[in-house]
Amino acid sequence: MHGTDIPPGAPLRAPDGAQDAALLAAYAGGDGRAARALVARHLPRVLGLARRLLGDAAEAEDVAQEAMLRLWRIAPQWRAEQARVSTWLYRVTVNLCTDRLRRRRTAVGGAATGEALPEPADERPGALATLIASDRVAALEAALALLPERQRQAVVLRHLEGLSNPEIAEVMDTGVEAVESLIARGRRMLAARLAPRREDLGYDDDRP
Amino acid sequence: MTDREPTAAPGQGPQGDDGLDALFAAARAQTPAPSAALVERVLADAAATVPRRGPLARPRSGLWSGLLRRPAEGSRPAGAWPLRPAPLRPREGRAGEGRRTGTRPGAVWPGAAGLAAALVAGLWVGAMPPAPLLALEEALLGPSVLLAAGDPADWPSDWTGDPADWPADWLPAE
Repeated sequence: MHGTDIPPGAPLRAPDGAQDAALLAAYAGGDGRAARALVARHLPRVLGLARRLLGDAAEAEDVAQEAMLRLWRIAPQWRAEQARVSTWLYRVTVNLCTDRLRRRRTAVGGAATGEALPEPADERPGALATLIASDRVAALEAALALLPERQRQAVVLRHLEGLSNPEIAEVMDTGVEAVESLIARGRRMLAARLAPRREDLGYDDDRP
Repeated sequence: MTDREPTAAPGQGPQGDDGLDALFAAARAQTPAPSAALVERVLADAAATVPRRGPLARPRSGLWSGLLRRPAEGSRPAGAWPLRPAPLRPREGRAGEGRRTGTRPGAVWPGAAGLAAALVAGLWVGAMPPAPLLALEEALLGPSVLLAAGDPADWPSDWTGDPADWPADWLPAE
C-alpha cells in the first residue's frame, strides 16, 4: 500500500467508524484480511500525524507502529459505542508523540513542557533561518516545529488532519474552547513567523 | 464528529487573511506514505498479537487423536494468518502472547493417566480380591460351588440339561 486515496489538497476524511469497528471485530476473530484493511485505512494518517508532530521520519515510524500495536492489543475488548477507531488512534499517537518530545527535551536539558516555553520573538534571526526552506511545505513544517507543543497539536489536527474541534478536544483530552484558543494562537504565530517569507514562498498569490 | 471543515479557523477573521490556507493545502497533499517495511512491521505485530480463537481455533479433537498426533498447521481456514517470519522489530514480552497453537499437555495426559489407573485398579481387584469383598460376595450369592464337568465325551447323549439328570460325579462333594 502506498499512501492514501485522498486527492491532493482535499480535506482528509476519517474512515467510517462502523466499518472500522466491524474490521476490528473480524481481526479479533482471527481474520488477517481485516488487519490489512485497518492498516490501509489508518496507518497513513497515524504516520502523517506523528511525522508532523515529531518532525522526524524514523521516530514517526516507531510511534505509528506502537500506536497500531496498541490497537491490535485492545481489539478483543473494543466497544464501538465508546470511541471511533480513528479518534482513538489519534489520541494514542498524540500521547506517544508527547512522551517522545518530553524525553527529547529532557535529554537536551530543555524546559519541561512546550507550553512553558517563552514564545520566541517573531523576527529572531535563528528562528527565521530555520524557515528558509526550499518549498512551502518545508517552511510550514519548520514553523510548526517552533510552536508550543499543544498549539502545534491543535493546528495539525485541525488544518492538516481535518478533525473538527470537538474531535480535537477528545483527542487532546481538553475542552472545545481550549482547542479554539490553541488553534487561534497557533495560527497567529504561524502567520507572524511566515510573514517575512510570504513573498518568497509564493503563497501570497493564493489568497482569495 | 460531524463538523469537518479543515479551513475553518476558530477565532480568526475571514479565511485567507493570514494566507496560511494555501500552505495547509500544500502540506495535506504531501501526506507521507508508509514504507513497505513499516507496513510489514505493523502486520507482523498484528499477526503476533491476534487472539487465537474463532477461525484460527484448533477444532476440538478426541482423546485418542490427541494422544496419537499433535495438531499440525495443515488445514488453515481461508483468511487465516499466513505463517510469517519473526517481525523485523520484535518487541519484548510479545512472543506467543495470547496464542494457543499447540496441544497443551495438561489437556490430554491427565485423562489418559486416569484411564490407565482405573484399568490397573480393576485388574488388581479382579485378580486378588480383598477379604471383605469375598465375604460380601458369599453373603449375597451363597457359598462357592466347584463343578467338575468331566470329559464332554462322557456326557450322556440324552441329557436334557435338567440338574436332576446330572451324573453323580458332577455334584459337589458334601
